[in-house]
Amino acid sequence: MFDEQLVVIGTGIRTIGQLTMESIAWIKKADKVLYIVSDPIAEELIKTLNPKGAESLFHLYAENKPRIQTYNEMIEQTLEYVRAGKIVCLAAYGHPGVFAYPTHESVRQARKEGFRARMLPGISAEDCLFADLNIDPAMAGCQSFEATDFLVNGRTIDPSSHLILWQIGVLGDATFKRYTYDIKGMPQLLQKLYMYYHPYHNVVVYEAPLFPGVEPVMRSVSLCYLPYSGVSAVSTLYVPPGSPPRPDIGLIQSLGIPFQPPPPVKQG
Amino acid sequence: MPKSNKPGKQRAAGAKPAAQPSGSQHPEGRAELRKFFVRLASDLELFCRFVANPEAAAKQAGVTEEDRELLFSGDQGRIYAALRPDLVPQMVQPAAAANEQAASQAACPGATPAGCAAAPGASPWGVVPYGYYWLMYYPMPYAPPPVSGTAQGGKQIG
Repeated sequence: MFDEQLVVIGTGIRTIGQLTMESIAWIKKADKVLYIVSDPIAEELIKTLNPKGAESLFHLYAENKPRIQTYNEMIEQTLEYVRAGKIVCLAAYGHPGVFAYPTHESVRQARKEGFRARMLPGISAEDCLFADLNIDPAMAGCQSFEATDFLVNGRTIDPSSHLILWQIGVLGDATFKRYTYDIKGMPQLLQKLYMYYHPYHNVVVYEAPLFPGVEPVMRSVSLCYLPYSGVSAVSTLYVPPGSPPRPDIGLIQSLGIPFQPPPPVKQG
Repeated sequence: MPKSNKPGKQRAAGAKPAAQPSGSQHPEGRAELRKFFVRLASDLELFCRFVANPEAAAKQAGVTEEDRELLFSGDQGRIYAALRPDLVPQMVQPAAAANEQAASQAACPGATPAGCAAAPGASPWGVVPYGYYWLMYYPMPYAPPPVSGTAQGGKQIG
């Protein structure tokens, strides 16, 4: 127990209050804490708890450099320390396994090479979204896609369920930008969403806060005004159901479930 | 479905960044405030006291009046700027400038509902600010699977 050679942790979106005790323990225990956090509190915390082992991976990002290249370098750097016999803690913001490529791959690669590796759950932006927007993924179901993936890989959606699109602010851009991203794929994204939703269907641009006492960004706008809604690189788009569910009456009766007509969908 | 647009005190799109507090002139930013935040994130007892009475807990922990004003301002841009002034020029200021630029582009593209004419050659979608996080995910475009594969089984081409 607790004998892993690589432990991947999440610092939460708001480090204060969202960093777990187990994660703190691993930051202290590790020989090396590699971190991918831009929250200054998380960075300071890691440096304070483990001053000798803390090492930022931010230097691997570079302007216009393909992010996949940066992520592969992060994985390689992590594995190098593991191979050298160090106890490594890889810390990432949010949940380390949600929309985080280098964290998952580091665990996979370490296990493949015979090392004991584990990922601990953290609080992701989606968890914050459920709490702040007061929605339950169990009610109506929930589909969650990375926005570019949603567009280019032909994903299909059920408009009677909740829809969450991540990284809408970097749509179509696979590189890192220090200052701003060009959201060149936005017209195509809207065209695709118009296949399922009315242009004036209300959506919410969401960003979870980093510090205590700061309110989340929750901009409610019509879908067609999305490009003018102040989207940032880390904005998440929440699209509420746009049509009622289609219950299978025969199946409901055969299962003996008391039938209730579906609630009306609140438009706009 | 939330109806309200409640951005709190975060910087609105197009707004100029908040003036940096005096402490942020120092390259280290507000070191004492950072230390307090670190304690808050790692000391359960202090955090419980903070939840019970934020003002009293901060005062008792020796947070200065100026820092307390910042702490309870609810302004993410200001707090970030105070803690990491070295990153502000890269993240906050250009983002605001970019938002202003994007907001000034009034033309609607063809993807918007009828009635909005596209401006030839314009990029009304503009650019978006970097934000406060470093991205950690890259979407994988997949080649079509050979015969009966799934997306997972497809060949990654990205």
